[in-house]
Amino acid sequence: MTATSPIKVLLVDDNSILAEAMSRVITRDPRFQWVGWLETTNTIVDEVQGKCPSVILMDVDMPGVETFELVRLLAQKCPSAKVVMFSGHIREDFADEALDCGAFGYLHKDDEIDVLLSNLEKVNTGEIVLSPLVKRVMWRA
Amino acid sequence: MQPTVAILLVDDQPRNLDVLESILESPEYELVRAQSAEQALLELLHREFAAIVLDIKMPGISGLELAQIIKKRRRTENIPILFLTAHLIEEQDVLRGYGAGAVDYLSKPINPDILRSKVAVFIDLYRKNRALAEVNRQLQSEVDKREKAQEELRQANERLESRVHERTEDLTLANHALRDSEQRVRLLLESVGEGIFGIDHSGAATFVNPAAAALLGYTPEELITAHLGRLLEVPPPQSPASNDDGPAVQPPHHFTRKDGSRIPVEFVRTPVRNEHGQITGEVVVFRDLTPRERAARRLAAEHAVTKVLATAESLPAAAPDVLARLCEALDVSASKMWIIENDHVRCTHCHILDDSDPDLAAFRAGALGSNIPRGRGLSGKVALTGRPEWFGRLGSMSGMPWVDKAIAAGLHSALGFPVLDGDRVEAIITMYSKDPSPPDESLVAMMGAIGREMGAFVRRTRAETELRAHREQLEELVQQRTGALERSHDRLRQAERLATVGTLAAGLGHDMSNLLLPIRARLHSLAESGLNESALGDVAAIGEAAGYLQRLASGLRLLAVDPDRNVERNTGTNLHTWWRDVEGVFRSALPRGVRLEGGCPEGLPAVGIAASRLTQAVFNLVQNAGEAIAGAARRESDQGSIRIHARPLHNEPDSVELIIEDDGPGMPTEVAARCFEPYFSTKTRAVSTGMGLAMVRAWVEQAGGGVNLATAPGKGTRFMLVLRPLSTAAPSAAEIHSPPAHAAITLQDKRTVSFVTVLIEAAQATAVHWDQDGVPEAELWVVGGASATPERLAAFLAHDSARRVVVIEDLSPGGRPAREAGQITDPRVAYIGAKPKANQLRAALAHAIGRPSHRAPAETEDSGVVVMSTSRAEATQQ
Repeated sequence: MTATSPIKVLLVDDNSILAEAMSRVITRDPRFQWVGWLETTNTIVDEVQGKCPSVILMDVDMPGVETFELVRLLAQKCPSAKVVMFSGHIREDFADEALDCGAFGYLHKDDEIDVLLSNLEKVNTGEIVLSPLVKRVMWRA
Repeated sequence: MQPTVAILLVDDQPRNLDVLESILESPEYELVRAQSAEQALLELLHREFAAIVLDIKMPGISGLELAQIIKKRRRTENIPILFLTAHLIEEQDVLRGYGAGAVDYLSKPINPDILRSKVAVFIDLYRKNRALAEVNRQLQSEVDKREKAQEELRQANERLESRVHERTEDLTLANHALRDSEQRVRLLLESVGEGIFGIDHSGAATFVNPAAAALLGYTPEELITAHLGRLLEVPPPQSPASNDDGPAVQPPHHFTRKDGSRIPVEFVRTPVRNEHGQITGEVVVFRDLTPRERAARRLAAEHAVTKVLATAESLPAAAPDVLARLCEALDVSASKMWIIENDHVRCTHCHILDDSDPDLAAFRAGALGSNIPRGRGLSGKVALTGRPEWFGRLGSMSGMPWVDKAIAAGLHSALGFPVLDGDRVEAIITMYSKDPSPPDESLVAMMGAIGREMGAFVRRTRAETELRAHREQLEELVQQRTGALERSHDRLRQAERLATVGTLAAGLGHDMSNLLLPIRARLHSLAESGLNESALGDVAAIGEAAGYLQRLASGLRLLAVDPDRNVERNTGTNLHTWWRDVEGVFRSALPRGVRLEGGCPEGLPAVGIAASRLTQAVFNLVQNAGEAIAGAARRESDQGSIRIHARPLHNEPDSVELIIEDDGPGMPTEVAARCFEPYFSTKTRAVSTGMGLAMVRAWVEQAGGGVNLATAPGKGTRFMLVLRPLSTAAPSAAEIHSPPAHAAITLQDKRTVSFVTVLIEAAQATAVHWDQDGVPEAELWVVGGASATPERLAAFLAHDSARRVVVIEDLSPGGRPAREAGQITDPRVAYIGAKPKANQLRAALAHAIGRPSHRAPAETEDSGVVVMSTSRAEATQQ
């Protein structure tokens, strides 16, 4: 992690309170650069192409949108932006689908802030990340 | 005077004829001249000549030829011929041929005297012949007359003979006919089944046919001398002057037999009259009605038995009536029924015709319950043969306990027949009679028919019983199914409600997470923003509160997780942290005024039950307790408390006893005894499935533990959950072999490497990248197809039988899949295609690591729907 190349983070979430809080966290962290927040996905390709984020943190539950298909689209159109899902669901099948669509991971909103941020760093290097909560259900008893 | 006779003179010379006439001239002769043989023959045709004088030498037909003609003709053969010859010597031999007396000759010249003498001899001979012929003729006539008379006599005789013969034959025929007729009548009388006898006017027998004697039990001789009218109480014949004629049918009557028994009869009386038309006696024809009455009685018996069987429910139930009907209808003194028990037959029923007869009563008492080996005695024999059997002399039987009593009761014979279902003897009926005579064929046949009918009855009742049982089972099943259906409807309704609650809980947890994240994020930022001590204290306090809310959200999520569908990997539950997570949810779910106290201390051993299941189990118990307390409380405030505490189990320090107790109303004994039964509930179905406590116990027991209950009315309720450690909990399929501690990854694709690494780390193993030659030191090797040469795989696997390989194909253009090229078919090697889907990869790794395969996407589609299997409404407490 170098100060000269902060990781550009874009958030896609319809929850403005969450978005504001996240922007505050990301902005204050020198490892990252907050490039913006999308409340809707209507212009996402243009926005991504314009803002060139390294990592896109994308809510699974965007209203009226099949977010996994969106991930697939972005993987084609904007391969330099690594998408990671940001979800309130502990669902291993969601994680599977996200990975199959080209996402670099599946993070949970209950994750500790520090864990969340370090996972964003990993995504930026091309690693696959999973929320600890989701890891627990990847191997069912 | 002699009558004249004609003499034929034949000579061709009229002179000679003249001479001859002259010589023979006599009034006694008529001389006829003929100058040729032809003329002579002509004369001979017309008249009779006494002699012929014939000249031998004539032209044409000579004298000799003429003579031959004459001698050949019958009419003239006897006429004497006197030949006149010229040469005596020459013609003598010729003449000799004509015989003496009839022919003579005279040589020429003729001596008239000789001629006359010779002719005279001839004439005399002729005359004598004629006279003799006349006498003969007269004599013949007389003979003829005589013969004629004799013939007539003979013919008359013959006619007479013939008539006599005819008469004799007629007589013989008449005789035969008479004899035949008599024979027929005799045969008829002897062979008819009807009894026939004649009585005179006084009533004395005049004749008796054998049938009458036999029917009455006498010999014909005994009857012929008896006064039949009196003997048989037949009214005397009509008076001699009666004009009534023809047979008269009499009303039914009884004749008394020689042995004193009386037989029912019908009879016809026909008067017998003498030549004056006076009645001299009568012929009585009677018929024994016993067979008919017997047949009627038997028919009645069969009918009665059929009627009994029609309404009876079983053979034992029908037995008393059947036996009674048989006794009455067949006039037997006693009857029994026997059933077959192993190698014995046992008398189960006995009926006697006359209850007042002490001997019969004793016979019955001795018979009931008696046992006879199969094959012995009458019933034993019938049981063995399956056929009707008859014993003629009961007295001759030995070893039968009831025989003495039978003899005492005057019983002489017994008939037994089987109750047959096909070939199977179901029971035996025996009947005892005072009559020693053997049963007739019709009785035996009837018994067989009754036996078969009873057998069919047995089969029918058995079938009906089975059918009834089946029907009852079916009804029970229907009731069970209906109940189950109702319960499943209830459960479904409940489940829907629970699903809603679960969804709400999950949604609440989700939303709380969404809100908590910004709070936590801001606190995170604040903490980094160089606040003073006081402000940092505030941030910490807010962080604590957020942490509590975070745990509440986790608790809600735990509560909402379907334990059968969405259980996280169970690595053991720490009760202290578990309680921290769930306490808030439990507390918030309690009625107002109900307190929740206690908790789980630190330092307890981890227990094997999954946290979500434990949450739901304890949630049930807490809910029940809360409702029980609230339901029984008088005041709303401070109704009661629920206390939770945990401690190591006394004898098993690795196990924990988790106690949930309340000071509520407690349970009555009968409720406490049944409260763990599935579907048992003291509440209405609308609010309870009756499954709550059953599931609590099932979950705890599945995890190797148990549930104890202590309760009493007014004393509160205490549930003690014995929670065992993970190691002694029932091992799941997942835990058959432990996960590999080390995995090696030899893959090109960075994403795949990363994902595999994450998964392996999630399984609490370490993953290293292996890109050297040779084989890695690891329990699991996830290797790309290009690197997975058969030699390397074999070398890796040879090291340890527990080793596993997952080969991910990474085909270069034109290359062959490793599973084909490698020829490694070891079950420890799993091959998956290139660029595997995440779930395929997880499945392969799960298999290799020994975890159960993940669910297919279709199954997990709704795994976000959270179902809580029990509810706050679930309770069995009052």
